Amino acid sequence: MILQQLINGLSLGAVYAVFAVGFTLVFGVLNVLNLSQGAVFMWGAYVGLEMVRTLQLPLPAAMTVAVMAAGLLGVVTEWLVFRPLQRRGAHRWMGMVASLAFARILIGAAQEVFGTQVIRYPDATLVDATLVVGEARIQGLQVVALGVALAMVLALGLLLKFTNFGRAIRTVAFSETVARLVGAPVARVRGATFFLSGTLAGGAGVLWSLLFQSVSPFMGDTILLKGLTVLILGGLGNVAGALVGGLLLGLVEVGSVVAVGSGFRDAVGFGLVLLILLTRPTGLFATREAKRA
Amino acid sequence: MLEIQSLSAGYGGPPVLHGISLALRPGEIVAVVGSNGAGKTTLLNTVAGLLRPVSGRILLDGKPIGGLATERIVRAGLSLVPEGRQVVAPLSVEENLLVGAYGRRGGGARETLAAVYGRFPRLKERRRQAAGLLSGGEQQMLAIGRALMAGPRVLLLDEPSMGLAPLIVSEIFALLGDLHGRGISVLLVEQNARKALALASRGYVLERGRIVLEGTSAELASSPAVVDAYLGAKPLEEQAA
Ligand SMILES: Nc1ncnc2c1ncn2[C@@H]1O[C@H](COP(=O)(O)OP(=O)(O)OP(=O)(O)O)[C@@H](O)[C@H]1O
Ligand SMILES: [Mg+2]
Repeated sequence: MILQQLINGLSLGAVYAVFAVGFTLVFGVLNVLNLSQGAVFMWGAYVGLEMVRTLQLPLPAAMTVAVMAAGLLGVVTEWLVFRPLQRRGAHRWMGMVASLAFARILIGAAQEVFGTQVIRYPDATLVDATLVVGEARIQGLQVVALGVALAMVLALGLLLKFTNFGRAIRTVAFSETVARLVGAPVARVRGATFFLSGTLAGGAGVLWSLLFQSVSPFMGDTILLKGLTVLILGGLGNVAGALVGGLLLGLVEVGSVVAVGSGFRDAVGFGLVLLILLTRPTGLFATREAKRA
Repeated sequence: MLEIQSLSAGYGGPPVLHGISLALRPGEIVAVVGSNGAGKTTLLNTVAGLLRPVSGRILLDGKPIGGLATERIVRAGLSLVPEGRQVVAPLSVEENLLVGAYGRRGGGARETLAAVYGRFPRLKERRRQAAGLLSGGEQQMLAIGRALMAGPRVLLLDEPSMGLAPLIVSEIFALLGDLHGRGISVLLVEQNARKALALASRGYVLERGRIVLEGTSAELASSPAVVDAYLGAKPLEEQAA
């Protein structure tokens, strides 16, 4: 029973983590909340689904296409929404509102293209193995989702930590002026950040739609709120914090369903955020720098 | 090497710099001294491409660089050590140095890294530490090391002595002397005129956005105007106040 809930919580939390890491990455670099992230998540899910349904691609290929498409959508977001605003020196609230508007356009477009009914993956595409350990029934799909999610976050972490481009991203996040002074191409770093963030949103979208067997134009709205929750749990702009925060939120939600019933699932998550905001305003995993600032 | 001709620049409003002309010859150390708000930072930031010139020309090896993106100016061989050091606090010391080589053309970054560590053993000892945890003097060394990682031929420094203890300032000025020995031309902006003129071969005095005096360091150090304003018996902090 515990093991069952643990894997449920972790696989859910890992999807939150993937989404939130993309969210926090853009926040870290541009200091702005990209509220179209939920819509990119949704489009990633649809692209993945259509690759399977219409083009009959195998799931790994479909997911790759979806992730890339979502990355491009991220770049388009930067291009259409954030870059023009930045050029005009607009306040970052503007970016938030504009990205929310852009999300509504993306959702409207999805409604036009795919309709509003909830659709699901054809059964044949799914990993349907089930592992029975004691009383726990662990779906192969959950394990795969957890693995893929952790691999995506790990890949991003390695990129940020150990590559030249990763160091450039972190430098832009700290100071655009310094980034320019070391000769980093700031505009390209921004674009790449949105691309990476989009791929994570799209990947999360595919994993989510596989785990919960539903794709709809509005699926991005809930995850956007979860993403905000994790952003605050993990500390704004903190990638490692987003990973831990995502897993934690998944576990807490699943735990609360068991403990107090499913009606309280979201309430518990947001209650947690309130609690953390009141007690540790810089998030659970504030870095030394954030604390000193 | 670096030639600035009738440069005017500012922040969108009325210009802060008015027709600055200044030259830095190969291997030379030139000081620009001036009090608070004279326009020293504005001058260096404009040359480094952080600000766009309003008019005038900036030439590096005879090629115009005025108004180019900073990225391209760095690639052309000019680096700025900014005012207030601006090390990337969350990155480790070594990461700060490595990111300094981002705009570097060709290879040689590894060799420069070894050379920087050789010159600043303390940075090597602390290479895994977050740069934000270094002392002010160490941060200044890191900021200089980071600029050197780009392999510049011209190095601009904006008040490297600011806020540092005299002993550390001497150490940093000794380093600048070494650099010049290695063929790097240095344009040094300072409020600490005494030290700057002792190191430089020539100097300029900047006041309210204009060059009001130029000459060899010896000439400037003995000019009554400079002595009164910048080298008087009073500590500089009091004069600035
Ligand atoms: N970002 C800015 N926007 C508008 N005006 C500015 C800005 N930065 C500086 N100035 C103005 O430009 C003038 C020159 O400033 P600058 O920072 O270049 O002086 P400085 O010689 O470097 O002074 P300090 O010794 O204090 O560093 C000042 O009058 C200052 O008020
Ligand atoms: Mg200054």
